Amino acid sequence: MSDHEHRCGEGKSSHLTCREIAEFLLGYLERDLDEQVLAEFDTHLGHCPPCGHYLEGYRETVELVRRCGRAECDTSSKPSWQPPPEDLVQAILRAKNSATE
Amino acid sequence: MSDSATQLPDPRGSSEVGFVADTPENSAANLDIDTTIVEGLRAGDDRAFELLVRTYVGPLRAVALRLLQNQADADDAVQEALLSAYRGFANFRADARLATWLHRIVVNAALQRLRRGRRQDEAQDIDGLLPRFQANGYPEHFHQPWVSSIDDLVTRAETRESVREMIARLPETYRTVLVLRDIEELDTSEAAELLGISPATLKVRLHRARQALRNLFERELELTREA
Repeated sequence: MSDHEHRCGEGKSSHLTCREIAEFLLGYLERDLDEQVLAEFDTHLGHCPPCGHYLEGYRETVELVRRCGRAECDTSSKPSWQPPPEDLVQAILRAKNSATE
Repeated sequence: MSDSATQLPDPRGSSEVGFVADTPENSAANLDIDTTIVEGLRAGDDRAFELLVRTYVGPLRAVALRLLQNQADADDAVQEALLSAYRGFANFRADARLATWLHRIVVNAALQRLRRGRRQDEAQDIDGLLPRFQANGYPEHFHQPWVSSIDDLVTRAETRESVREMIARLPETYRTVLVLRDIEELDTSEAAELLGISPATLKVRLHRARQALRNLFERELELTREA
């Protein structure tokens, strides 16, 4: 029995391979798969720690992107958009006045 | 000029609002300023447009920059968006939120600019960042639990900066989808419509972008004991 088969329990923990788990993970998380496939996902994940870790890291990636993606939400540094750049403000006001003249 | 327009505050004295953390205090302040802007624009007061610009130019610029990755392009997109908002203000629904309406307009302006400026020869290959598997479907690399919690990671300024830098490294096709869904928080159908692609295609790109970032984060932030 290979190292991974050992980690996966019987090596045939479901009809899905680890590749398929990774490939269809978004569908699993969004409950966008057939009930039978969702059940096979659960079976596989219950017996395959590496895939469980992959799923957890995927969720944490989404969370990290959500919480770090907006530089202006950084509380420890001054938000990059304060104050609004005056030259840009003036350019927009000039463009609006030109358009309405 | 109408009475409502004469109630406008000096635009230069406006506080920063817009896409700030949604505390009850911020929400109330935003609503007050938004009401002033909307009533002023409806009354035809030019100062209302200046107040709109001064209030929202900063956060809109940040949104455009996330999509365009270039400050000059982002500034142009914001200018287009605010002029478009001014010209199309009659389309603003009374029950809508001004920040949300402007957000959609600047996203659209940035995406149009992205399409116009897209280089056909730009590498869009993300395969090298995706997980690898053996022929029998087993992974080439056994995934390990991450040793740092998300709460710990986000407290470090250098980690937050690294996360944004790694997002910027994604090929544009994938980065755009990720930014729209996971940062700008558009839903699948709305993001797909703005990009002119099917929801199924959008989901494929989003998944690959997340998988690529997962690998990048794990490797470059040294998140496993193996790293």
